[in-house]
Amino acid sequence: MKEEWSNPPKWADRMLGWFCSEEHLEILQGDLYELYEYRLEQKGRFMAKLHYIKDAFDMLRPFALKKRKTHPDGYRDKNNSITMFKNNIKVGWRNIVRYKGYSTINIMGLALGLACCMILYRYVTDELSYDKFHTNAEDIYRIAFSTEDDGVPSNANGSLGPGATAGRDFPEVSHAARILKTGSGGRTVVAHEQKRFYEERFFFADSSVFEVFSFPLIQGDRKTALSQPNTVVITESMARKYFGDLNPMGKLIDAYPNNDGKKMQFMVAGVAKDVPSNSHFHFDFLASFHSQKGGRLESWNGFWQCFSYVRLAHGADEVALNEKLAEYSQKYMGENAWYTLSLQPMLDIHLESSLKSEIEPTSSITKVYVFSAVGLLILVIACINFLTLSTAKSARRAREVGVRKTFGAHRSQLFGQFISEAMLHGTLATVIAIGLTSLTLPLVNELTNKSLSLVMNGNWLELIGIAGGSVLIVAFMAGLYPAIFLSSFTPIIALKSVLTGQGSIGRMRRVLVVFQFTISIALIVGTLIVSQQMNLIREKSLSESGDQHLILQMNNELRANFTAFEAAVKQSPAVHSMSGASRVPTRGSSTDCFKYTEDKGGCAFAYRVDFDYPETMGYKLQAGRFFDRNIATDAKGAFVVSESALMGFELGTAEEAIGKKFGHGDYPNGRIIGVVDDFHVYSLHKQKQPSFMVMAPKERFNFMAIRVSPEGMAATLDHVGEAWNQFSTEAPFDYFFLDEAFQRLHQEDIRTGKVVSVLTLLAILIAAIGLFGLASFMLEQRAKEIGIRKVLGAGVPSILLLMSKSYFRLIFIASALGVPVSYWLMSKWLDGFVYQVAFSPLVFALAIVIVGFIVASSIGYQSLRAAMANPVKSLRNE
Amino acid sequence: MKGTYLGEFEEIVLLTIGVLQGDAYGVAIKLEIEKRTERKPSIGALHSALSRLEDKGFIESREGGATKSRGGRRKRYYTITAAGKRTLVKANELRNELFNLIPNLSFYGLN
Repeated sequence: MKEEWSNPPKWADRMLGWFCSEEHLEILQGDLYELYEYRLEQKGRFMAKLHYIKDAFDMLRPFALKKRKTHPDGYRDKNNSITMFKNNIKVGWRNIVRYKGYSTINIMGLALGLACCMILYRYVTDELSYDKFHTNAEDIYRIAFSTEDDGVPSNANGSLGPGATAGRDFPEVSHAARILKTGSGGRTVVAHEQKRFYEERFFFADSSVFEVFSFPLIQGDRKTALSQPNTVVITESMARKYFGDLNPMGKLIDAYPNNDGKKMQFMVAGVAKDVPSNSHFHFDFLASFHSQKGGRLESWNGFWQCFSYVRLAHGADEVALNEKLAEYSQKYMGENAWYTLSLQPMLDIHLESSLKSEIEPTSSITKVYVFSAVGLLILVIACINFLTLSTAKSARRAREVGVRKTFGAHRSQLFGQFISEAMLHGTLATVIAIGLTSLTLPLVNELTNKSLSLVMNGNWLELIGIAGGSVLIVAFMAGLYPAIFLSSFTPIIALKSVLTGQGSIGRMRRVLVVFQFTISIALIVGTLIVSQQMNLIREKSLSESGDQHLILQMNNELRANFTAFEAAVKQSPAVHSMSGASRVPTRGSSTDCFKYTEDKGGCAFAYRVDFDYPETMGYKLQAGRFFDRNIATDAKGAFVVSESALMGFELGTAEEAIGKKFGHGDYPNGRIIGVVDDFHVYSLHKQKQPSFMVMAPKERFNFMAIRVSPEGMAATLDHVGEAWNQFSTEAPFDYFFLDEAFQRLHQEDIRTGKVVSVLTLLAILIAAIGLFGLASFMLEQRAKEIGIRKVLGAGVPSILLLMSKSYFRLIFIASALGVPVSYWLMSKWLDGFVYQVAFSPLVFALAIVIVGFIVASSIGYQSLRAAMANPVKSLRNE
Repeated sequence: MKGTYLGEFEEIVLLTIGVLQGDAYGVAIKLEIEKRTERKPSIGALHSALSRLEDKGFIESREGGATKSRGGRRKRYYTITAAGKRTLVKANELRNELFNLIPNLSFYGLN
């Protein structure tokens, strides 16, 4: 192969010139050029260049390197700063080995702090990475719906129309796709041959979904996979679950995804990679939207679990489009438009969206801030340990500094020495921290449901960067002040007099210790209040009678045998009451917006239910009555509303509301027969919403709510399961408990609480070992003083008091600072909840007591030992 | 002076310089070694060995002979010194001596 002459890469040449000594440069470069030309002929340009670069780097050998100044007599002078660095490290190492106890405290404290930071760094970067894997992530927006007058987005979900027409009506929108979840419960049975499972992540999607998002397909065509009715794209793990090693393409699956519970058949037309964990929604099945029948596919009325996404053309003006969208609903609905639209950037969904009916629970940017702050605080506490201990040790190092200075050491050299010692500590701590991180990440993953690892995506460079960064941060945060302080001694004072570590440096140390205590107190208060709040939520989600609510998902077979099934279940004495319902709290989430009288509209959660539903759920009547089997009109347009509906629909007081006209859906001319206390529909973060119940035929029931006594639960479940299997052959028996479902809604809060308590524990532990080290050091220095006091007649208690008095004064100051700070922070956090625990002074007292106890136990032992020691021992040697 | 021990790769380089007579410079040595042995020494490793050999006094060098393909840069030619020759001969003798000491029986037995 003959190639034209071309030059080898210039930068490699320059690099060679940069490190290679002049003596060798010409010869080596000549050889490289010659080889380059030889290879150009043999292997082509690319390989020649590659080899050239490799060889240039290969020249990085001792013989070729530039030499430093050469003495006239040919003796090659070694670089002095390198020698000194080696010496510094050696001296630093000796110091670490000599004071094993203090070094362990320092290094372990730093390692724990760094490990926390590394784990939190992984966590936070994962939170921040959500949805960024899409190629056009920044151009993807979700159409948010607003039912508020001011147009502030309120719902993530909405009606079917806008997502269908936006692509046609706006040139800015290059692709639009809707994701629809059907079957109010959100779960559907999927079956292939003998395999039958409930699946939660079954969605319908427009064929353009793979144009908007870049979820990779392993098999199937991105553009056409979902263009035909009754086709489905499944994920890799679903392919394995249902088809094993067989090729799933073209195979058929059965599913019951719609409210009507009818069986639908889908042909697998594509296999997608599993959705990465840092996506704001996860699908296992994406069925083609066209599989849905009927003319409602572009309806602008009614909210569904339908999420509309658009991908804008690159560089499109999203502000202008947003303005157009604000009036878009009027174009299709005229004056009846009861909602407005706006764009929400997809990248904001995970951390900054707080809309109703999110497709999956989202996180919050506050949490990211809190975790980052706590991580930093822990590192600060660990660095303070280093600061206090190394300044306390200054008396021991003073002589060394004095001698070095006398022999001509410059201050900057001593500074360098102490900084490199801090770096040595930092390096050891980093190595341990990396070990700790890799050991604890599996636990963290379990706690947070993420898949974090030390090296993400094989990015070793990042890990090296993190490690290098850690060493530098420690050297800077922990080493800077001691280095400045220690290198500042004047030789004559350092050598002659004894530095006691009192005075300004002592003050500095006290300030730092107060700071540590303050952080500890604030963290403890935070942890206690978070756990109290979580307990409150748990209590609120339990029913007052102590009964459990068992929820079953209905299917067509059960609906067909509804009465018989009910009778069979009721045979068990543990079943107190049961009722079918279109929805149950925590499941199914569309808000119905409708006209409740001829001229007034409003929104509420609608529950289409059976006679016994309010009683089964244990709702408390404020006025009026529940549904009655003996009153014929109750089945046709009798409404039971919740307390907040009184306000929402202008019904006056509970008593006044009874008998008022009220209409919805099938019963536009209904009447209100009862008012109940508000009940929870979703997480306790959200405001309670107007809700109402109305009787409906069994075809509309998606759930069966059963109130059972908590005793003998296993037997009751067996009984209900038997009844189920008697009537339902297609869907396996499945149930959930209402209180557990409520708790799952607060999973994020509970997780945050757990993480914060673990971090708090660590922070306190680090602060405690630091204090332990400091106290033992101070006591060692005051050993003579204690000896003299004892000789002069001081008793053990008075010495104990003397030694610990100063620390308790510090705690007092720290409490005065920590209590208001934590009060302020925690009341901000609690603002997000409808139900809040009351701040009890006990919480603050407890936090102070805990810190006091830790201080007492870490200095108490040391003080006691010092107070009990025989004074002769400390006074004998001078 | 550094030790005069002759490493295995150094020995090969030294021998190759001898083979090439007066024409021994970096690339030529490298190509010759590639031709005669299975190994492909990198140019860096080769120069490193050359520099060691020169330090030990086994070879000496002179500069000259710029060509166009080298971008007008000179070559450095190596020749074996008397000390180098002695060491080579000694190494060869030692090897032969040891080789001859192996009893035929076990030698063939090993085959």
